Amino acid sequence: LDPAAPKPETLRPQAQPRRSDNRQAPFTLRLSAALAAALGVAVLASLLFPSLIGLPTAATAPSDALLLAALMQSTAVVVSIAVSIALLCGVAGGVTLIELGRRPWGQRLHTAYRLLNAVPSVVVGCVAFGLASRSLTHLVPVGVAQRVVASVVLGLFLAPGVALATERTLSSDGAALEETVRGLGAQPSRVLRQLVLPGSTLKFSALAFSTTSRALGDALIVSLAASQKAWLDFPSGVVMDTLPSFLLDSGATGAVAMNRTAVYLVVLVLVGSSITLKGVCDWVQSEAEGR
Amino acid sequence: VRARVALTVTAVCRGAALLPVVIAAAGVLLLIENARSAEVSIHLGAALRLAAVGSVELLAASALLSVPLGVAVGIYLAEFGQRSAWGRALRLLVHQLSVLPPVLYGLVGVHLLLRGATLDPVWAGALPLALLAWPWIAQTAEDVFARVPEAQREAAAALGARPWSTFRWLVWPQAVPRLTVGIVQVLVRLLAEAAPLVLLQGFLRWACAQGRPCHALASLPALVFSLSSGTEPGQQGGLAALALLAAIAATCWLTRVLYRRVARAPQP
Repeated sequence: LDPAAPKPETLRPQAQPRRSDNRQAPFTLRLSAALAAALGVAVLASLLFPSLIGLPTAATAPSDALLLAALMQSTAVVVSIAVSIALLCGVAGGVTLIELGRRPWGQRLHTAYRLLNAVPSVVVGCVAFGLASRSLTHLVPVGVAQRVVASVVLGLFLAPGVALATERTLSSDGAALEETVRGLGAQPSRVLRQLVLPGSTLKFSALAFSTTSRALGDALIVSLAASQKAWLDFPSGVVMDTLPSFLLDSGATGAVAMNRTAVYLVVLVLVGSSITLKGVCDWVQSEAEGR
Repeated sequence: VRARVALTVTAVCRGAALLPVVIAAAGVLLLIENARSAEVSIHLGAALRLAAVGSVELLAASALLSVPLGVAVGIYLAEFGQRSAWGRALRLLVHQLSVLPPVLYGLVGVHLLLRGATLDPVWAGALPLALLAWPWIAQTAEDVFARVPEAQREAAAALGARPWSTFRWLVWPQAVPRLTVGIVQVLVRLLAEAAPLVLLQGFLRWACAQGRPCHALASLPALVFSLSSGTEPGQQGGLAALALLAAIAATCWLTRVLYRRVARAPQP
């Protein structure tokens, strides 16, 4: 029992092994990682700085700036209406899924949302603007503002994904605490209002940002709505296109080859806003997890 | 009063939750009604066949390009580059590339065609799709490998196994079923992706009209788009949309079958 005697080896505090310590990736993997990084940087560079790969770029003309401003305004309107509808229906859907739980109706609703989440946007646009708008115009001969219709369809298209994400968010928050409160006799709706929802504010903010990012990236629904001028009236002179749908149409109109400056301005704004939204979403998510 | 408010809120919530489902059900009824009343012309049948074959070719070519790269990056990120600065930078790049709007990847294909690259139409369409898919596959693979418990790796390391041997004989066999399903899910998403192909198809049409060298690029999503757009949308767009939905459903069913087979297979 000599206090100066060295402690046995096994009683010494061991350093926690770190996952990446003493691990050297094989050459092929390192090569793949380097290749992937170079490829990613090349894609971003070719989109943002086309002159790097030899494509000529003209000086920015005032008309390009005007077009960009109109497109940004149109995009802001479409995205804000779509995100509002998606969040309203989606969060309500997520809350309903949580409330119904494992009851048969809850399971059915969950399956329906999963199926709807897998439907591609081109099919939604085809049904909404190729079939439904035509039928509705035969029934009700009134003009509808195209932009609003496109936004509503886009919002409803995004809603199932938001509902499933809301369900994941709500069910992952303090399940044990929730069960305890329920065990003490609290009603499910009260647990949801007073315990779950207040604790998920940051996660809902992250959800809103990711929904905005998805709405911003969808080109097909707006583009299909813009092509249905015969069925849906809208005031002439209003720019219908959003930023991505302008890019989508730029191939067919030749703008991608003829008016490169406008196209690259749009690309610049689109890439910048997508990356910013993703960054903000990740930051809010990490803040929420930190709490 | 509180009980009434709670009841009203619940009713409004349920109404809002059911709204997308009800509208989607109406859309499905419309599609079925359209399919029953529409006449399948010889031209539409030929176009559907061409588009289906084109979609399969595009999917195979883009899978050939994106799956090896995506899986390799996923393995690197999950197993070797978790904490290194290089790994973090690569992960950030993969995350940023995965959120870019798909239409932007179509522009990369257009850039190549504008540069006069003599690409086969399948590869001209597959390259943007592969560029779009590899970050998704890398994220899926990283997630799948990270799910294998760390304690197993530590146990293997304690027994003297090298990291690569641990990965090859311990982690990889456990991850294969989920990885297969994840990759097929990404490919299903790719099958439905229309924006890059619509952009490329529009550019090729414009190039043909301008007398530039051009090729035909056929795919199911682009066919749905072109049949549904325009001032006179016909019933044919609905039929093409049904064909696309059937293709997606068939691929999903195949995924489930594949998952069951792979999960049942004896592991080394």
